[in-house]
Formats: sequence, C-alpha cells, structure tokens
Amino acid sequence: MTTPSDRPTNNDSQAQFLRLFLPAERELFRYVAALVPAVGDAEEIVQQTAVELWKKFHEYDPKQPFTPWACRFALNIVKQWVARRQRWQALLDRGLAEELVNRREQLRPQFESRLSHLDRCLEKLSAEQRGLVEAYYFRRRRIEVIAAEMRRTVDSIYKALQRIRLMLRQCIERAEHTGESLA
Amino acid sequence: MNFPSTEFAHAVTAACQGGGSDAAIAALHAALQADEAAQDDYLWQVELHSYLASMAPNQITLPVPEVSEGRRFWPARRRALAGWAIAGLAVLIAFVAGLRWHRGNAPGADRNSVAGLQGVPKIPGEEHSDRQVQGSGFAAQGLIRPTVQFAVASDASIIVGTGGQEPIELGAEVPYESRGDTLHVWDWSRSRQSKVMKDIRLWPDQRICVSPDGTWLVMAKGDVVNLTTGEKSTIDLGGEFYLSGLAGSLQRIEHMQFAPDGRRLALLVYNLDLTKSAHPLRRQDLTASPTIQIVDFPSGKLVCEFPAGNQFELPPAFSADGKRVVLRYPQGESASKIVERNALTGEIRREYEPHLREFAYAIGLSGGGSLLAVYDSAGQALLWDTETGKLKHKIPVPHDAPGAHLRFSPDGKLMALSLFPGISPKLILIDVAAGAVVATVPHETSGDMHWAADSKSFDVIYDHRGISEQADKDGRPVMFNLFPTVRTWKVADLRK
Repeated sequence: MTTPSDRPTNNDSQAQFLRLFLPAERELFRYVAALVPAVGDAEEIVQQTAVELWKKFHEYDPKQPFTPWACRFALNIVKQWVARRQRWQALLDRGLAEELVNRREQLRPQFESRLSHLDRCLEKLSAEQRGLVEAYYFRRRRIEVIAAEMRRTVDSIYKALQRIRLMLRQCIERAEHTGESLA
Repeated sequence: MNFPSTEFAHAVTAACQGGGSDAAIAALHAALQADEAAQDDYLWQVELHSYLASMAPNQITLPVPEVSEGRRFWPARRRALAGWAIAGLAVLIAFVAGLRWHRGNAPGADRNSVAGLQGVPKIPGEEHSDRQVQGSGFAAQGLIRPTVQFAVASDASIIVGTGGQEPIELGAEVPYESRGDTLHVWDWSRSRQSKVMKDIRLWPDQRICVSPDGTWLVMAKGDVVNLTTGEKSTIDLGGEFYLSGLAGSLQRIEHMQFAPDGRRLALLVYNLDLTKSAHPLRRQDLTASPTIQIVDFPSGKLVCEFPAGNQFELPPAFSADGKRVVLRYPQGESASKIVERNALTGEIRREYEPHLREFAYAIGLSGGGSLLAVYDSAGQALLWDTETGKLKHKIPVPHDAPGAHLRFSPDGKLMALSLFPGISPKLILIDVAAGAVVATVPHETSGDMHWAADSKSFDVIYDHRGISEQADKDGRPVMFNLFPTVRTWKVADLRK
C-alpha cells in the first residue's frame, strides 16, 4: 500500500489534488450530510475522506469527473464511521445508506432548483433570525454558546432554529410552486 | 414512528443538530426504510440544513465577533488530521480548509469578544448621539457578548458587577471598549452609585455567585470576598477549569448558586470521561457529563452529587431551608420533566406529573415550600402542591418568551412571572389560590425579582440588558455595555 510518507509529494501533484478537491468539498459535505446530518460529524467524515483520497490519488483517472469518484470514497468512509457507532447502525441495514444517496441523486435537480430561492428567503428573515442562522451555520457556533451569549435557554435556540428551517422551507416551496419573485 | 408526524420532524431536527436519543435516531431510520415519502422529506430537510452549513463565510453580513467557546474541544476533523500532520500534504489540506472554514475565529487573549471586532468602525471616544442604528445591528442580534457581568443577591438589594476604577450608576451605558476588571457593588436600596472595591479583580467571564444576604461573593476559581468588609478568603471548589491557556479552555464549573439559607453552594460541574477509542489514530474518546455538586459553604466539603440533566441547565430551585431542590430533566426529545431531590443526599423525592409540553424556563418554590411553580415554554404556568404532588393549576400564559423568571410573594398569595423581552415581553401577576392571572402588563425589563416583606410590591432587577448599538454623528455604530436597572412594581397598581 502506498502511504503519504513514501509517495511523491511534489508540488504539482499537491496542487492538482487541491485544484480538484477544494471545489468538490462542498458537494462532498452535502453528500455525507445526507447520511450523517450533524455538521461536526459530517465535517469529520469529509476530512477523513480527504486523507483517503490523497492516499489513493495516484489511482484517479483525470479523464473522469472527480466528485463522483470522491463521493464513492466518502460513502465507504461513512460506512466505516457508522460501523463504529451503535447510534447509526441502522444506516447499514438493508442498504439504507445506498438507498438514501441514490434517492438524493435523483432528487438533486429538484433540490438545486429549490435552493436557488434560498438567498431571497434568507432576506425575509428578521434580524434576530438571520443572526441565529449566521451564528449557527456560518460561524459554526455551538447552540450552547449562542444561548449563553444571547442570554436565552438552549432549548429556545434549538426551537428557534427548527422554526427558522421550517420558515425557510415553506418560503422556498412557496416560491417554487408559484414562481413568485418573493420580493 | 409515523410519517408525517411531529415525532418525525423532531427526530430529523435532532439528527441535524447532533442531539436526540439513540432510540429516536433508530426510529427515524426505520421510518426511512419503510416509507419513500419519508425519505424524500428527510432528504429535503437535510439538504437545506447541509446547504446552509456549507455556505461560505462571505455570506456573513455582520462583523465577526468571536469568543472563546469554553468547553469546545478541538474539532474532530482536526483531531483526525493530527496523525497525518507529519505527512505534509494533509497539513496543507487542513491549513487551506481551516482557513476557509474558520476564518476570523481567533478569540481574544482574555477570552472576550475583542479579537473578533475587526471590521467594526472605530469608536470615536465616548462621543455619540442618541440616534439608533437602523437595520440588522449586531448588538441587537445578541451576537456580541457584553464585556461586563453581574450577579444579584436573591434576598438583598445587592448587585455585583465589573467596571473600571470609577463609580458607575445603575442604568448607565458605558462604552464597550471600557471593559473593567474591578469589582463594583451596588446596594440599590441606598444609592444608584456603585461602591468600587479597587483592589479586587473581577473579570467579565468569571463564574461567580453572591450569597442571598449579599455578604459573600464566591468565584468559581475559589476566591471569596466579604462584600461588606472587603476581606478576602478562599474556598477549594476543585478548580474552575480543567485546563486554561491561550489556545482555549476547558471549563469545569459552569454555574454556581447559593441555597437560600446561604449555607450551601450548588455547582453545575462538567465531569469528563475518557474511554478507549475505536478510532485507530485516537487513544481515547472524551465525553462530558454534567452533574450538580452541593457543597458546604464556607468549608467546601461535598454534601452530595447528582446528575444535572441538560447542559446549561437553568438554575435549580431550592426550598427556603435549602434541604430540597427542584430541577428539570429532559423528557423525550422536546420536553422537560420536573424532579425534586433531597438536597442533602441527592435522592429523588418526587417526579411531578404531568410532564411539561415543552421546556421549563423557570422554576420556583414558595417560601414555605408547599407550592412549586414552573413556566412551560409551551405557554403555561403550572402549580403543584409539593406535599401531595398533585397539580393544582395549569394557567395559560404567553408562549413566545425566550426565557422567564418567577417568584412567589412572601405571604404565598401571589406569584410574579417575568417573561424575557422578546416577541411579547410581559410581567404577569398570578393569584396562587385561584390559579388565575390577575394582571398582565407589558414591560421592557426582566430579571430576578425581589418581593417586599409585606408582599405589596416587588423589584425587577434587569441585569441582562446586553449591549446597545447607537450611531455617532457620522452614522457609524457605537456600542455600549448596559448596566442593570431596577424597577419597583406595586401590586395595587398592577391590579388596576
């Protein structure tokens, strides 16, 4: 087996890998999150995938698209990760993990179309709601920390985020169905 | 688990936010196995969640205030990469990715928000106008933590807080940059000006509490100050942190509270458990389990210890003699249950029924200890007879408050419920015997409440005022720490 310490680490190879990996990382994260939605867990899996991809990078055929190749690795990493955690074992039962990623692939065009309305819907949030989204999602602040800073309870932040996602979802679906500009 | 159902929605939320029980996640997966429509709904919810989480930092419209996240361990992905650090490129990946994912997250050396204030227009001295900044101000959104802190004695007119070397008036607005490290004491029954204890250092992020009679200030690190004489002593509480350094800190004591008799302290403590890791690169996994330790004051001797339920648990409610304590614990995925324990042994005395519809935001016992009141965030105040355990009243109240305080009057006839300023800030007066709201008034203050001995009036101490954001004459935002205010309400006026 080739390991990072005995493989060539020339700058060209590194640069080529990063050129392919970095644009794919966001989709890779979303692919993994379909199975393991908690952000911290999904990030951990993506990083493990990055390491595995680099180890196997010499097997990559540049004529093929990089992201699907990377997603296949990610699925294997997810399975290894899940196998060590009782909580997620059911994902391995009767091929649920494969079923979910396949279904997601079918739904992706629909999801992308819906998500094109997200920016407009984010603008419709109140300042406080927008602040919560930014703190939790964009800045990766833990709910407990946000709650402490806002002098609110953890549960109220938890519920507020749940409500915000529901509002965004309804806003997006309304825009998708009506084709309205949401102005 | 059915689909669609509230249970299903809660399970998806829990999966997204890393919570929920193992059983709930297993039930979610079973529902996904059984129902294609459930799969589609789940995938769409998760897609929205992960899309938000993958949005680039340039989506942030606010400056980047950042504070140390006390108990935050190194992110798992960095831990995973640590083994690869010597392999060269993995470091490069981590570096590049880290730059993109954690840009601007450096905490200040004092673990306050200052390091993240790049981008905030420079504050031009103390010059400002009263014009409020319009739009999505970051102070209004609660994302910048005040650089002051306060604690209130539960039965005396004493507030302690941080400030500079000069006295500060209650209600003052002090420029955000003027973070102080000196102990201030207010006795609002005597003066609005603080007494400055110039040789006693107190930082805004220290965990502290004040004895009910306002005599003692206790810091989690073990310093004790007699607020009357200024005399200093120590108590061994085992340490505020497990570790603390420039790279961050691992908090041990999260919250402190005196029992009403002033003879015991309740500490919300995080206990760390190391287990052998299944990961090939990691020796151990680290988990934290919160407990409440009851310790004798001033000796520091452990009286008893019991599980604390959730992290950042709201303060428990003690009986006046300090021998009983009532706490909330999680009940399912989205509700609380109320449990009373013997505060001297930790043994459970009673679990109150019914369980709440949502979460307990405030708990209180009457002076004699015969009544227990809880504010349920679903929009109800519950009153139990603690002798029989029977629910006496279920009183509808507003449900949109992000938090609440409640307190019985000394004669036990009334209960004041103060809902945090939010969508519908309200001060509510409840007739305990009738189980009925007798007054509801809008108010802009909320906090601990102190009843007068004759039960005819009470003070609301609004000590979580946060930060105000105003505009200077050029329209640039200027920020101020807001110091506590105290407002007295007369029952007779409220009843009108």
